[in-house]
Amino acid sequence: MLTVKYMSMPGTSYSSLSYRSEAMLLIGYHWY
Amino acid sequence: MNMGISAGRLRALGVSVLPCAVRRAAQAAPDNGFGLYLGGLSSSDSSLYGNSHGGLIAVDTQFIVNDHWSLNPYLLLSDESTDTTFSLINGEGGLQARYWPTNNWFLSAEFLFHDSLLERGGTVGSSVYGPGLGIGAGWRATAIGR
Repeated sequence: MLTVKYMSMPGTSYSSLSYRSEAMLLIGYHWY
Repeated sequence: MNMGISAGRLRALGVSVLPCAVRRAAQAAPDNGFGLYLGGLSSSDSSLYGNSHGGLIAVDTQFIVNDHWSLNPYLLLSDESTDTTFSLINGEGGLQARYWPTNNWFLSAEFLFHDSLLERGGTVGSSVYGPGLGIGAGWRATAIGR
C-alpha cells in the first residue's frame, strides 16, 4: 500500500505553524 | 472470527510474500478482518526539521460496507531521523475509506490525527500534533490454498 499524507502541526511550542507531508510504503497481512 | 494463522486464512496486502498465488486473488472478495503492516516513509516539514525518513509499524481493522467499499480505522507508529539533531517519533490514528474496483486492489482516502515527538539524546523536546488528510492505493493478493 502506498499512501501520501498532508498534515498540520499546530500546538507546537514553536511560534510558527508547520505542515508535514509524508509518503509511505507498507507491506502487510490481513487476517480474515 | 478465527484469528489462527493458516495458509488458507492468510492474505497479503501490498506486496505478497507468496507471489505465485497472485492468480488466485480475484477469486476471494475482501472481508472483515485485522491487518498488520511494516513499511518505510519519507516526510518533509515546512519549518521544524526539514526532511525525515524512517520505518513504521501499523495495524488496522477492516469493516466491509458493501461490494466496493470498506472502512479501515488504523493506528501507526514511525521512528524517523531528520536533517537536524532531533529524531522524530510520530504516531497516527485515522480512518481510511477504501474503494475496491475489483477484489484485489483499492484506492483510499483518509482523515487522521497525529502526534510527533521531537527527541534528542533520549529526551523529548517537543510534541507537535494536528489533523491530516491522505490518499493511497493498495494491492491485495491471496495466499495459496485460499
